Amino acid sequence: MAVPKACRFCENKITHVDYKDDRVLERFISDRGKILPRRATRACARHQRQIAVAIKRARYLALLPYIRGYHT
Amino acid sequence: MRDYEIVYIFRSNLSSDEIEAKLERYHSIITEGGMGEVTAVVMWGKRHLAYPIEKQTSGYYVIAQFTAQSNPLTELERVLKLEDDLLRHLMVLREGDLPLPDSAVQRTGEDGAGDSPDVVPTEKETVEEDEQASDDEGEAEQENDVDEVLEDVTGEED
Repeated sequence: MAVPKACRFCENKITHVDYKDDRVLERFISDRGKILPRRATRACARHQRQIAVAIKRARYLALLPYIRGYHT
Repeated sequence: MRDYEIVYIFRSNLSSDEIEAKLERYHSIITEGGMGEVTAVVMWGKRHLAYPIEKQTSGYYVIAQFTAQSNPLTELERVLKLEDDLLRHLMVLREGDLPLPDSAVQRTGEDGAGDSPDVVPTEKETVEEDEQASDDEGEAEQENDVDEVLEDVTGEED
């Protein structure tokens, strides 16, 4: 599997990361629910910022968990 | 005047009539005085919450887009905070021409998580709605592309 070289959002000309699209955001969080770092997402600076904000909004709206895999 | 987008999460035990009535009440705050206008309302439907809120495990999501001046928004915020049947709400600036989340709507429908979602355009928007529909198709395709390539991205890391 080739390691992508460039930001996938730039390549697909997506200007805004949608906080409502949990299916896309899902790919940018770890199995514990943490936001993945740039080195893992390969996103450019602008899109990485957008991803981070979008994930935080999605968490507030309970579309994504704050912590995953933790059961009380 | 600015474009805003708001997401409501209602208690899922409310009837759709009750939700409609509440939306009507909130949106009248925006449209009051003739300055604001609600451009689109999407009933996303019942959805499982990623974590319980007020001991509820599911909520009824509604997304609305509107233009308004900032003054009535503080009043709207105040009303929404007092609302017990509203689990959460998020009001943000609309980012460019963000299409309504048709793909997401269909997804929730497929899950069978609740009632089939319903797009309720306001009268003035019917024309624009059509042209938005064609836009959305393009966007949906793009999103699929991202999904595919992103699979590569994240698959690598897991």
